[in-house]
Amino acid sequence: MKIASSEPEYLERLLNYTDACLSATCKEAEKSVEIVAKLLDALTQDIARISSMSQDTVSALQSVRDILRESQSENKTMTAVGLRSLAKALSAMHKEHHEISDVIAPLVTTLQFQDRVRQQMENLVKMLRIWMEYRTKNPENTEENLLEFGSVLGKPTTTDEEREVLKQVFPGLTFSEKIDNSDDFFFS
Amino acid sequence: MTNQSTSSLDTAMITVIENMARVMTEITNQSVNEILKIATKFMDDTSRKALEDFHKLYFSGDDLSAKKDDINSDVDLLFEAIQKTLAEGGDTDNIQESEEDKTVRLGLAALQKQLESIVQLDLGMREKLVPAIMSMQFEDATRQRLAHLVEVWKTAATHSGESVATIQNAVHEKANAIFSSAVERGLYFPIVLQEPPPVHLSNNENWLMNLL
Repeated sequence: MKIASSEPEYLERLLNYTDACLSATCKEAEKSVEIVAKLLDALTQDIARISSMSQDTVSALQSVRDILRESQSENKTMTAVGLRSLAKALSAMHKEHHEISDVIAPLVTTLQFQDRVRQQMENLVKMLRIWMEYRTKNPENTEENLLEFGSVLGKPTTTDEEREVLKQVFPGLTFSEKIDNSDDFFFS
Repeated sequence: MTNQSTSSLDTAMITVIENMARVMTEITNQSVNEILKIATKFMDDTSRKALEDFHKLYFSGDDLSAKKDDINSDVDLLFEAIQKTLAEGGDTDNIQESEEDKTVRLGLAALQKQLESIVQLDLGMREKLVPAIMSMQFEDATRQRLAHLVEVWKTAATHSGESVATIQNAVHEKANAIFSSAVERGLYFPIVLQEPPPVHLSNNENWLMNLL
């Protein structure tokens, strides 16, 4: 075990570990695309369901499944943008093909959840970096400074849940700008 | 000694980390529930109920769910103790599992049998179960890793201000006791300890897929 030369150096190592661990977890979350593909496979092989669908609906389902298969076969990394495109395509299907909305809606919701957790993991690492920097400044222990720390921590936030957490920990904390949910691709 | 102002920053930040971990775990749990909604559409009532019960039992945050992680660590320790004793030519009869651990482990075995019986009910059921089990496995890994990160940071903050060696040893002791996956150990050793990871890395994160 190599002992660090100082506490900040050791904490930096822990921060890098946290970053790597959460990045690995986000990468594994991309498997959700594989899960969605398997579910669509099961759906398109369900004769009873398929026989009750219109030809348009069946074609739409198959085209989404093909897109998923292609992305997996080429070993492409499903980026956040890719996930959002997929969710948008599914969302459009949900609106057009009510016969399968009970299947498509949960698929879209699960992609949305995954996107949100990914953002929160990335933002948590950014908050940890802010904390490390703030510690070195050694601010005076006043309520004002603590609130300012909470405010700086809030800068990388992109979801309402993160802000709620910060408001609970730092009473009196407010956010002047609202979260931009215009890119929230589902069912709007 | 820890500076008082740094200490209040640390206390606040640890609470943020804990609460964020809770939020992310909850969202991941909801995500799995959505996958289960779809997966169970292709099942009969018996299989659907069994799968839902399985998920509820494992991920509801009850005693069994929490205890499972301890059992995984304890089984590793038990295995190491047996290996060490055998290497020293000792008698392994004295190495015993606690009654409580045994009860929980047998409970896990019963759950495994339940899943196996679902698969046997319908030969095509395995394919339908795989997506649900994959998402449960991801939920389990995420929950564990986040909980472990919270513990590691708590330990570091508690010892802040003491010598670097003390902080590092305290965190290492904690990490050693709780890390249960090859991913965690494979990253922790080179990044934090700056040494290669042990050759044999046990991995308790694949237990769900191994059930099928």
